[in-house]
Amino acid sequence: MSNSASIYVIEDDQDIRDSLVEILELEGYAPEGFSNGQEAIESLQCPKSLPEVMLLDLMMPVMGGREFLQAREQLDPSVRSIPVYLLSAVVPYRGPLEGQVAGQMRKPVNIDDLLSVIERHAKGSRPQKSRAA
Amino acid sequence: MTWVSSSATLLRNDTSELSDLMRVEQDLTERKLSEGIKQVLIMNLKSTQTELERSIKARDEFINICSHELKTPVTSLGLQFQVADRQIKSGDPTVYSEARVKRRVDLVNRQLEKLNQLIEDMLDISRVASGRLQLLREGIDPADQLGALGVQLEIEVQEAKFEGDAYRIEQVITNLVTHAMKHEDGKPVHVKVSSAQPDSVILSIRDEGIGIAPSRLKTIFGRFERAISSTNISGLGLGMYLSQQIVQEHGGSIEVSSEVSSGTTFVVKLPKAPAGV
Repeated sequence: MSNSASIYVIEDDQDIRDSLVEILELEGYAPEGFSNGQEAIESLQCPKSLPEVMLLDLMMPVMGGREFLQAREQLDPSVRSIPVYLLSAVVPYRGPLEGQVAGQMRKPVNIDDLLSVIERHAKGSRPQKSRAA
Repeated sequence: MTWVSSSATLLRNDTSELSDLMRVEQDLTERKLSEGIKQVLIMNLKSTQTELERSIKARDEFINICSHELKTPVTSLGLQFQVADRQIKSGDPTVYSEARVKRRVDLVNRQLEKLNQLIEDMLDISRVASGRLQLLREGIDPADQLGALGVQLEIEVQEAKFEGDAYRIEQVITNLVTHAMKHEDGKPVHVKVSSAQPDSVILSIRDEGIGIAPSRLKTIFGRFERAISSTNISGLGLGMYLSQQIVQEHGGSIEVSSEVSSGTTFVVKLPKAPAGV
């Protein structure tokens, strides 16, 4: 079992999602990609292990970021306490659930900024850098 | 019609006896007409103001959507170059592996194509607005165009060749099929091309997906409109507007019917030999 910090990447654009997953893997994290909020909620309802940080897009099909934040309110307190970081072209997000996000980052994303945010929020063991092709 | 104001005053003599009646009449027609015209002008101005406010709101929403759609490929390209840069700087040799380089090249090509398409759509809006959408006249075989889409569809095509601008008609077919595939909810998309009418070709695209609410159906061909919530489906919302403009420029028509949770059908009717093309 990996002891790397688990990160959820909830993003509908496959290329962006794959890129974020690739970057996080290279940095030694254990990322998991979801193409919409619904998929992530289903995973959070019966998790093998909870993520330490969630990166969330706002505009997505099926279930967008706002709806995801609302749905998360119905889940276990341990899920509600996981930091959610918004990555979107339309931040700053201003809404009733604004207080539930740990932070917001505007696309296009700067990797160094993103990684420092994750390092701040991921409380797990410090990642070991991967060298997998 | 004539408007008149009339007043009368009783006049008395030195002994206070009534001696005469003085009547004053004033023609108010011109003033009343001016007031009427003013009221009509005010109503017209209010209507124009409402329409302008709606246009400005739609334009602002469009700019917002444009920014979001343009940022998606830019974000993807930026991430790829940043991660490659980090790998190069850290001396990670896997950045040069054939598999990784190929993956990056494919991604960059995909995102550049997406950017180009967004820009083309925006240019088309400008061409339509200024009447510069020029059409060619050439032979079109819808079967070839549907085959070139390279997607799984249930297609029924009769022999239905006609004349028009092949590039623009392909654009219409792609827009309608893409719309159907975005809303198909995992169910099949049916495409039928018919030449049952002597002068026209009928193209029908039907999905069995989530459908479109009646309120949104009314505005689906409007510029900058999106059939369902802007938060849930990506795209500039120009496809339907451009499709209708192209079909109308060919002398044809496009209609849509939909039922929520049952699906949507678009029917395009194109003359076999369009006038003005």
